[in-house]
Amino acid sequence: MRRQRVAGGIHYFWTGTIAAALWWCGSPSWASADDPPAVARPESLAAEIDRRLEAHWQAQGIAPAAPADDATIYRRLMLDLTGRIPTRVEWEAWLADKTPADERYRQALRQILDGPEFPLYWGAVLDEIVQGTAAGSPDFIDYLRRSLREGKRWDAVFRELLIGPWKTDESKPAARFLEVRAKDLDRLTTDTTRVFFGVDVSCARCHDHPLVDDWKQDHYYGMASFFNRTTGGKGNLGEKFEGDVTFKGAGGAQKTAALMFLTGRVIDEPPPEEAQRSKFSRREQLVAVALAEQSLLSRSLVNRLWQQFFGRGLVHPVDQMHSGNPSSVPGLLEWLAGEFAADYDVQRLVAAIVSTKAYRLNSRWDSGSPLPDERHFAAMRLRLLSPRQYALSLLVASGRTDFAPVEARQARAEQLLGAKGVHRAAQYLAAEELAAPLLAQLDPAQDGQSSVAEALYLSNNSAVQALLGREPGTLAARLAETADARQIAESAIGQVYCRPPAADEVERLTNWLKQQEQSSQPADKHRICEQLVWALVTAAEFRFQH
Amino acid sequence: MTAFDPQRATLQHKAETPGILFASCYDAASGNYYGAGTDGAVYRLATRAEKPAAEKRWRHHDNYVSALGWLDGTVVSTGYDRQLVWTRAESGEKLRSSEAHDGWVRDLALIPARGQIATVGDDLLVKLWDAGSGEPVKTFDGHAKQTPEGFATAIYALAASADGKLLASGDRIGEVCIWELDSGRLAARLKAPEFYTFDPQKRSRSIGGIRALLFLPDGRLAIGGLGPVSNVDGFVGPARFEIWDWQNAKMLHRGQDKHHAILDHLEYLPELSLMIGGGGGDAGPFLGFWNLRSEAPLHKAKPKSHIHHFVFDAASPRILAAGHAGFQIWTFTGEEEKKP
Amino acid sequence: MRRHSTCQPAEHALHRRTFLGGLFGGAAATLTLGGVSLAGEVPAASDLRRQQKRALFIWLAGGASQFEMWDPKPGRETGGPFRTIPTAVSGYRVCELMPHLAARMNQLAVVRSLNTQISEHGQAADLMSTGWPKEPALEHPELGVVLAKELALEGSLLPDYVSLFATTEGRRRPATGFLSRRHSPLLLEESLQPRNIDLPAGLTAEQHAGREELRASLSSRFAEQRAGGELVQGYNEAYARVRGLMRSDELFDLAREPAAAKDRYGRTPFGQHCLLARRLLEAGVPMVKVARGFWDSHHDNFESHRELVPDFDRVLSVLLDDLHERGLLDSTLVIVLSEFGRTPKINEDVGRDHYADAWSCAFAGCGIRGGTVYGQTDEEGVKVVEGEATAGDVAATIFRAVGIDPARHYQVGPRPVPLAKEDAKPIKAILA
Repeated sequence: MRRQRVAGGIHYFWTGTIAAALWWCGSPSWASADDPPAVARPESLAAEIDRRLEAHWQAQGIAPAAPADDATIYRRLMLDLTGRIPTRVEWEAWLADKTPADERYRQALRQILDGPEFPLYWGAVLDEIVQGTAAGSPDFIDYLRRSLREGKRWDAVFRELLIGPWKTDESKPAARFLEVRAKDLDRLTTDTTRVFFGVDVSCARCHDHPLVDDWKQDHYYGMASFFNRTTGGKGNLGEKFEGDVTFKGAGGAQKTAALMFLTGRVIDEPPPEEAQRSKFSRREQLVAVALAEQSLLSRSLVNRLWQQFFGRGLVHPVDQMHSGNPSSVPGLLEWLAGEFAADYDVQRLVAAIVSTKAYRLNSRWDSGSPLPDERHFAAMRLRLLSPRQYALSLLVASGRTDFAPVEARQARAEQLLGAKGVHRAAQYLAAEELAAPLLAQLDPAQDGQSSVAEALYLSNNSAVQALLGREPGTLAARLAETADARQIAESAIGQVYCRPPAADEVERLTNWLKQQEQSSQPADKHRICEQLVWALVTAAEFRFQH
Repeated sequence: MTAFDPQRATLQHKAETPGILFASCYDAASGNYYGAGTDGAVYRLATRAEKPAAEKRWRHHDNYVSALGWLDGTVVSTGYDRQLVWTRAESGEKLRSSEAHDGWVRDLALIPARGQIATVGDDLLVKLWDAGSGEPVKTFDGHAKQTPEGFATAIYALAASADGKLLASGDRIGEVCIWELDSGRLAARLKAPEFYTFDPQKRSRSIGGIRALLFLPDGRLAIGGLGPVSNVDGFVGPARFEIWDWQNAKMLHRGQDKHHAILDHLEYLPELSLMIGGGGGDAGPFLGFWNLRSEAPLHKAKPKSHIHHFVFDAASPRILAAGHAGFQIWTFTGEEEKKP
Repeated sequence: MRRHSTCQPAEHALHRRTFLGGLFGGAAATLTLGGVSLAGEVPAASDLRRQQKRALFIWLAGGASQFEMWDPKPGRETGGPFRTIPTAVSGYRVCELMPHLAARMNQLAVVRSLNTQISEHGQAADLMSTGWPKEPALEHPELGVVLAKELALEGSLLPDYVSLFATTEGRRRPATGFLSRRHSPLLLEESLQPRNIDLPAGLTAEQHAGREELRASLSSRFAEQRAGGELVQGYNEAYARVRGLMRSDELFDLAREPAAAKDRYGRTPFGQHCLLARRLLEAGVPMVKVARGFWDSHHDNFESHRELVPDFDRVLSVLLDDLHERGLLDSTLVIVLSEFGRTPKINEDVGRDHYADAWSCAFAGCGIRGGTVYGQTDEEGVKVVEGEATAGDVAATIFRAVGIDPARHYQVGPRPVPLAKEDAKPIKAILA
């Protein structure tokens, strides 16, 4: 099993981004010697996913899209794994690399997964998945980042979030999931079952679920029973040893809820005196039964990760997993979840999904033939970038952040300290800080819908205009120093869209540039280049994942 | 006065009445304690009895009773029905009732030295009446007619100096007017705006006001209410009183506790330099004792119900209180009432 | 545990199969975006647009007390100290704090018999402002969003929906739910001026237009022959509305109103907000929401309502008069609603707590039969004795009042979703 070695136990007590970057930097390896033989490698998982999808398409009579082109694949992968578009240097190197395609992809994937940016970005992604509206706590995000970096198993994360221990500085932030919910039993119950088990039982609170046979009031209150003894809040979470949940059943009778998991399994409990003596914890029992029952925990995460990469879960919506709402590709989720549960290694799962051919399908589709429904995953679809992806990418495209490769001296220093990737991590954290003010103003990705509020913000907000402005080192400034309109167009497209330009679009942009020059008196080249950058970064090709 | 230890304050007895009692007065001779409030009726508690019970005596107000005063065998009362009523205590006979204000009457003060009674009402006026005949004597007009934000205001509290020369009226926005009763002029206006909180950002409304006023024997003025409020949905601010040198518009002392509550009534025991404040709020009911040497109280007792008014009975010593759910008797022997 | 009379499993049976989906084979693939199809037209909407109807939603955030407004119980133990005054509707008396509305009661319809059962702020606000109880798989759009969508004029450069919520407590942003974010309202929060509607410094209008033109054409070209390309259409539409909104910046400038108008509405924030609302409605903005927060008087309830109700009374009266004088009242539905009412019991801090078992709301204007008082509560105001109405009924009434059939539906993936809950019944008595 792949493991990250944490930087030799050295602790740095500096503040700022360097400290944050150093905190968890390690030197990763694919140390295959440690792999227990039973766990399948990502490549073979990917092959099986593809096989199952192909069988499904055949059965449905669906012809999938063609593979996407190289530049698109690289941009897609970078956005999904690091949250940003590649720099010009990065994508040009990728296209120039003559290694056979599959091997080149595998190497690039490995490099990204082993690098510092993957856990940095994915810590934030997991934070949003786990915390929902309570997302955004830097300590909690860093806890998730460290967990990813260390290769902590997902079931271990689950355990740590629900029962701790929270004694060390590293583990204390994990308490936050409970802390923000401890005083609201309904929220705690509903959020836990939604996030970790992919089930929304809240409708079963008042009566047996009106639409889903699986969920009765007993299930809702059974789950609530795991939490009802939890007390306290920030810094002082605790648990009592007695107390039951009671509720009025649909018939009007008052009932006491059994300590029942979603699968119907009821946990045996000691009587109160015994519970007190043995410090019986209902929450611990939840963790135990969830891990024993396994399928809900594993399927839920696999499904959510699938959604991250394909725009839609195998089960949709992702918190509606029940017998009446099966996976749209029969058996795939169940099988993949079973594989995941072998070691709960999140990185292995991510690698498996993005190694599939299906992940690298085109979003281009000839409108002549009918587009298969998205639930078959036969083509990649346009999806809005998340606010984080868009903001970080905006900074890269406009030249506001620097992801220049590490210099030789720095690389050597990192090597000596056994702290590879510090420099890049610091760059990333700096970019994140710059991106922060934009996030709330951007449309969320989930439904893909656009609001006029974002359009107004990007069109007129002075901070955004300044971001795209012409300070030395920015794209707009570099373009303004370029003499030839064609070169401006080519350079801009390359920087912003991470691909070589096409002839007709260079033509189009060149004409536009000339038009702008003629219409403004005097022709302000700087201003025009700023506007070109604006148009490119607000155009659909940049705003969407494709 | 018998010395006593505030630390040993104990709720010795409760006597329930319907609703909330806002007002009370005490006949020291008989030990009868009168209380009145939301149901418009006056209740009597024979406090020297073995197990005093609240007895409904009469109902001469058509709405909440806001204040009571004991005037030699007569109970004077004011109410939200605009009336100022005289009732013979023993018989319960209504002697006189007159419309005192164009709006709720909020408080009254007896001025025995002048044989007069003062009242405040929602017409934002302070009025003086002859205690015997009920004839109006004077009207004082000086309080702001609206809050600074343009909303309704009220004068909540009224106090007369022992020598009968001065009247103090305190309002919602934390302003106190001091009136010279002989000349009728406004002698001073104090501003204590922290007793009033308007929250423009979260809730666009206010809470607070000066709910208790008291002249100390040396002429200083005590003001009671609560301090700055974080959540105007409730009495969510520190219980607070201030002592002012009103002639020089100077605050001399603040007594406060972080227990979130409004002080509805203050009493001062000059021999012991002890200030007692009663009220209630977000942190629950409150009864506090201060020695005026520090801001924090010497002791906080834990009433079970919000106290709106009380009297200190020096003879025992004990506190007779009226508030939510009826009467309370507090003693300082440290002995709780034995339950049957 | 409360009995939920509005939610009976049998009613859901109709939609069970459609909800669970995946069981229909061979149907033409509807465009699905995250499981939700592009919301379709509600038939007869175009007629509405021609009639140019408007709606004004006055949201009394925090739970206004029906005892101190529409359904007083003077002299009862639960009644509190306020007395009542007669209104223009014979036999109907309101709290003495509302003399101006009392005089105009023949323009208003009051429903005194709401029983909505949910008394937690957030859930109740969602319930009342959408007309639907919480559903796990479906987020319902707020009523104003639906009204804006249906009442908006095609090609109008004005915002469809302006929502004003200047205080922070209990602040809600109307959710578009399963409808497109295109229908998100323009939010006025810290300022009465919308954000980001000024031309950026140093940019001419021509340059602004020039770059947008490039953006739009690049985007359209990109979306050709792309799976999911229809998202780009929505994306471009959002930008297409930018210039229109920028041009309507004058609308939000209260300095353009004569002093007399400003004085008439008064200088309290609610007064100024309603003046802005009238301005917007008059200009043709079809949907305006003004929130007046925060009524949650757990302590000192009577002093709080003494402060809040007269301001509300005066301002709403001025607004009704103003709309009437400008000939707008007949075509503007005015809704006055909270998330719940307040308890009959007066608590120990002279306050009232949350209460959803018997409370009131009010309407005026378009489609409303003024001068009606619907429903009754018992003597103490503890429960409804006649005309019980639910959140769904309120929603259905609102739709009917502006001429929309509440049973019409949007297609959300495989599931048809009616505008108002299936079992909701418009309160006919208050409809003209």
